[in-house]
Amino acid sequence: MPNEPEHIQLAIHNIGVIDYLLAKPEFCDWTATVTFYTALHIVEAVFFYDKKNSNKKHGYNHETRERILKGIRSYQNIWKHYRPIQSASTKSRYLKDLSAAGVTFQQHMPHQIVKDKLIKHHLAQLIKTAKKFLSLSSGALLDKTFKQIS
Amino acid sequence: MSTTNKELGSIHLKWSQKGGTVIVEDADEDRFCMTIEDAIEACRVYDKEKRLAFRKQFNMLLEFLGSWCYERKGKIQKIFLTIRDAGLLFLVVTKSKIYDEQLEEELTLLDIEIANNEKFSEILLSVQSLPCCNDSNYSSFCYPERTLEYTK
Repeated sequence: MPNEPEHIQLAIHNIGVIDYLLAKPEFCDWTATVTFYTALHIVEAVFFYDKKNSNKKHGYNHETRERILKGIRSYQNIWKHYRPIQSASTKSRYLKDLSAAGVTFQQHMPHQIVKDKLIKHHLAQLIKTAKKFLSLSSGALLDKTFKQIS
Repeated sequence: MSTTNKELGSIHLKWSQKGGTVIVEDADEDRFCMTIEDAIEACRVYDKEKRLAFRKQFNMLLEFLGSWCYERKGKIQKIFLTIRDAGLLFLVVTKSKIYDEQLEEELTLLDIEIANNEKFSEILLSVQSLPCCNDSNYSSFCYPERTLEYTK
């Protein structure tokens, strides 16, 4: 399983994908999904590096990850921004009703909402909070890469 | 006397081993010595207590979630309580098709409140919102025959 710098590298790789997808509004569903996997790698990096949580270096699955984020008070601010991203990602994968009466993810969360709320707000805040639990080099690298998003 | 599964780190006590004794040591190094029959009976009682505690907390949760929904009834179309993995899923279908940031934030706060409320210590709950959609969409989130729907 990856360690802290490896998780950060994977998150940075995903940020590159987000930047690429932001130029293609029709794929806002995939943008939401990649945003979630970016958040997940940042959270896993926190679990690995944070000394106070050293007995759990990995979340292993969504359920355990959720339980740790909600249950440890110092992580609750991460959860506040992780959960809306996770929820949007779930909807982007399961909201596939193309009938006239139905709703698509693109109608529910258009490109601009994904960009402004999910990425520029929730992911930005998650990174800001997560940095407090990461090594200085990982935090700085993550911050620098995220700021390059157009 | 007892069978240890080294791979899982579990201790297997069998009724057929009755007559034997078990010594259990707690965090304060207090030792409890009992027969295997008593240990099995203690587990049975504990399991029953846990189930009763869960049932009690589950009933309180139903009421708690119901109140939460009532306060937001203007925004909510349907509400379900179903199961997901090892826990429960509180599924809120909104009247609007458009993303509601405020409701999403309120769901997160509800989620944190339940996770940290002693009254719900036996409950593992996740929350999920869905925009106004048809049956086929929300039913894919609901575990068949293990779903409760709140009605007005």
